[in-house]
Amino acid sequence: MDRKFHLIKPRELAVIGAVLAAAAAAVFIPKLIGGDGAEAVIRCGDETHTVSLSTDREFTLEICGDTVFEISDGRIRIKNALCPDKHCEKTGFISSPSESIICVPEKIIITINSSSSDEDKTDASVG
Amino acid sequence: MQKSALALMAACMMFMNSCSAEENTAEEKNFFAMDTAVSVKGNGQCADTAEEIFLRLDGIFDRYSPESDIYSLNQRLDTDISQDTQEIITRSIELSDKYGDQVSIFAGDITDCWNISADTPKIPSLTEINAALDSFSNSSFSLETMSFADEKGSIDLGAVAKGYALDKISDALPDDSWSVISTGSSVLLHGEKPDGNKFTVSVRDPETGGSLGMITSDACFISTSGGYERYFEADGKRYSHIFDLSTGCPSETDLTSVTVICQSGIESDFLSTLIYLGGTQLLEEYMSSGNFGVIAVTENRDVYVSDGVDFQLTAQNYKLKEASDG
Repeated sequence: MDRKFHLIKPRELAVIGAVLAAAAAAVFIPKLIGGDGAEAVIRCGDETHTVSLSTDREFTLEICGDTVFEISDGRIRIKNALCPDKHCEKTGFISSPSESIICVPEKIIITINSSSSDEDKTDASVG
Repeated sequence: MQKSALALMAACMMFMNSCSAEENTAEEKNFFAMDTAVSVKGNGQCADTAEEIFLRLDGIFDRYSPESDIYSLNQRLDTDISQDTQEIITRSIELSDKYGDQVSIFAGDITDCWNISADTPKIPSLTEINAALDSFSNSSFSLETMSFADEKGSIDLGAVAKGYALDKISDALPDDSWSVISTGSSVLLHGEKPDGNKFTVSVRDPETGGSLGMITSDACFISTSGGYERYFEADGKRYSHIFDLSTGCPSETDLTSVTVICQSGIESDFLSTLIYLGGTQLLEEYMSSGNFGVIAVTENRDVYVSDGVDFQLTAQNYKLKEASDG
C-alpha cells in the first residue's frame, strides 16, 4: 500500500484516540458519578474546603473541629453543630447555589457550586 | 503529526477552561460582622471597603460590647458618641416619624426580656413583658444632647444596622465600580455589572429555604424580613425574632416574608420590618407608594408584587396575586 494515502498513522491515531477519550472522560465522568457535578464549599474561619456532593456520607473536617456534616442525595447539611443555638442545624439540607448554611458562632459558611444550569447563577440571594 | 495531537489536546483544554474563566477580575470575600456572614463580590477595592466599614460600625453599634456607643448610651455612661451613631439614631427616628413607630430602635428592653438568642430561651412572665413595654413606651431620647431623659428606654439597632452599613459602603465605593454585598437579609447592588446585564437576586422561600423566585434589577438596596430565620420554640410554638411593640411579644403577622427594594439601605431594612409587622391588612397602602418596591408572601402562599418590580416567581406551590385582589 502506498504510504502517502495514510493521512494518519496508526500510532498517531492511538494518541488522538487517547486524547479524545481523556477529554470525554473529563467531561462525562463527573456527570456520571456526581449527578450534575455539584460541590459544596465549606468555609470555617479563614479556611476553605470543597467537597463533592456525589457520595452520601457523614464526615468532620479538621478545619471545623467536631462539627458533623452529612451529604445525602446530592444535598448537604450540618448534622451536629457545636454552637449553642443550633440555627445551622435547623436550616437542614441545601442543594442549590441560591441556598447557604451559616453558623455565626462557629464562623461556618456552606455554599453550593453548581457546574450546570445557568439559571442558578444569581448575583446574590436575600431572605 | 504528534503536533496535531498536541493541538487537539490544547483545544480540548481551552474548551474546558472557557467554562470557568469568567469573572476572573472580580474580588470575592466573606467575613462575619453584626452577627451574620457578609459576602462581597465586585471590583474597586469593594471587599476591603466593606469589611472595614462593617467591622468599624459593628464595634460602635453592638449593644452587648462595653466598648460600643450603644452600650454607653444604654448604661447612661457619659462618653463621646461617634458621628455614625448620631446619624443612625437620627435617621431611625426620622423613619419612625415618616412611616410609623411600629419599628423603633428604642425597644431594646423588649428584645432583652425575650432573649431569644439565649441557650435556653424561655417565655417571660406578664410582669416582665409589661415592665419592658413600660420602659419602651415611656422612653424619651434627646437628639440635641444624644442621651436618654431618664432610666427608661434601651437602644437596639438590630433592625437598621446592616442597611445603614450598606448605605455607608455605597457612599464609599467609586461610582464607576460594581459590587454585590450581601448580609443574608440585606443586599447592596452597586454600579453596573461588567457584562452589562442587570443584577439578579434570588429571594428565599420562607418555608423551604430554597428559592422563591428571582428579582432582576439595576443598582439598588434590597432587604427581606421574615419570622423564619431567627426564632425559638417553646411549648410547641414558634416565636419570631421580630417583635410587635404594641404587645411586647413576638409578632403574629400573617405574612411570612417581606422584601423591599429601594434606593436606601436603612430605609429598605426599616420598611421590610414595618410591612412584615403590618400583615396583609395594611399591605395595600405600601404596594403603591412609588418610592419603593415590595414583594410580600402570605401564610396562604400568595405572593404580592408591587408595580415596577421585575420579579419572576419560580417556586411551584405559590401563586402571584394582583395587589387589588387582596
